[in-house]
Amino acid sequence: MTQPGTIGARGGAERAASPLLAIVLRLAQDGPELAREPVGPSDLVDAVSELWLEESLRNGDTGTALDEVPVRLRPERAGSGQACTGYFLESPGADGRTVQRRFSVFSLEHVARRAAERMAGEGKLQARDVFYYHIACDEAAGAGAGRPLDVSLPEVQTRPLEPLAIELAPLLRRARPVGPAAATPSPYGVFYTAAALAAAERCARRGAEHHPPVETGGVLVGFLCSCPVSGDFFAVVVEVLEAQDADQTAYSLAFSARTWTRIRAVMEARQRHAATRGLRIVGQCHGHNFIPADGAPPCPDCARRTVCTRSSVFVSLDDWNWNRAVFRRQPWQLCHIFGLNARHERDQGLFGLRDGRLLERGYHVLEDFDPEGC
Amino acid sequence: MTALDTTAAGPGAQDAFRFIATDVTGTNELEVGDLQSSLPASAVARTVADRMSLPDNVPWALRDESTSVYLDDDVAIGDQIVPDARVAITPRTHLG
Repeated sequence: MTQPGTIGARGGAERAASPLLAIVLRLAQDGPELAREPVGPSDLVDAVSELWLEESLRNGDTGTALDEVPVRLRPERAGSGQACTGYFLESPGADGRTVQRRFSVFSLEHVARRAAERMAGEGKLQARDVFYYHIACDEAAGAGAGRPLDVSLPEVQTRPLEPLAIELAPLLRRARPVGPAAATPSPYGVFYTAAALAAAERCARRGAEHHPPVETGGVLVGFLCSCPVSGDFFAVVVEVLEAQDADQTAYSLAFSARTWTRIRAVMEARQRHAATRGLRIVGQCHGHNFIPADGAPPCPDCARRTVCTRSSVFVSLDDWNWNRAVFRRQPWQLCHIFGLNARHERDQGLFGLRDGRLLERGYHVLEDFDPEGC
Repeated sequence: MTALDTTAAGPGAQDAFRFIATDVTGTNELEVGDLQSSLPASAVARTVADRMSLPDNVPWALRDESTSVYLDDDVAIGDQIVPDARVAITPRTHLG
């Protein structure tokens, strides 16, 4: 499978070569190879984190750290050549059987963009060039059987997960579902308290009141939970910390040093108290307070459509880069966008990690949540 | 200069000092004790980001947790923080 892309805004350094997978860039689908970018362990951290969430944490194993999960990387071959349609990450499951999770070429878009940046730096690609990319595997490296993949960081101390033990089923019974119908398999559970959801929307849309509108937002704060009955893992967002003293423009929101300092101070204060010790930053929310397509009017057949699908609710490349940087090795990461459609109606969507990238997903709203009494 | 060039070795090693780096969410923490205090903060930030396996497609800065300000990229880290200081490795990127 070959995917088109365009050059992103930033550069990146080359990583250590992986003998197994590479991303190949071409200017035309059947054109000559423009670049071959090795896929290193660091490029696969988001995918490995997702495997950990789905196969360990969601099966009640919250005691095994990400670093401790043995992972094998195996290409999904497209035929007899080097081309791959994706790859599998495999690890031993709770019952001793090997579990696997498939990832598509889209999960390696950041590798393709890195290669494109390098080609642009060498003058081999222009800013508006469209390029195509696909995964290639190195047959000489034993692509058929796969190989161990190590993303552990022995020097780094990670805060213990310590999820709250809370039954999931009673929460689901009293919660209101929002967003896309459940995907198959369903993503890990995300709940908002009604107050936290309102706070997220309020701070995300605050920038719409500016003249001209700007982007505003904050971080989502919540508890990670593990169900003692089903073993499933979920998050409950209970608070939003607004990004104060941030640099805001029509199409960007940059947290300043003061923004981060305040957020960290509040979080440390929360974590000093027993009742809120488990709180952590689980995501971000912000407003795309602009009309999509540069404010173009709705489609000619707008009146015949029930729902306007032209929306400013999407995960931009900057949003993805921000989440990858801030929530590294945190697969519960969330990105909630509040925006507008072409009819100027309010729209919103929650995005979470799936296929190694941020895809839209549903969530549930609770009227209240008591971490000690539920 | 690459990230790996910043490790103190040989005669420079006695110039190394210790500090603690955390990510912005406070989830991951790295103790650093082998970098020269004369290195510019930008080089130290790149090394810390590399050791914490943070993405290399965004620029990184160090924020002094005691003063809340970003360290000056071009100034030696030893001139900006004291030994055993805590810094946050912070992405200099934005939501869009």
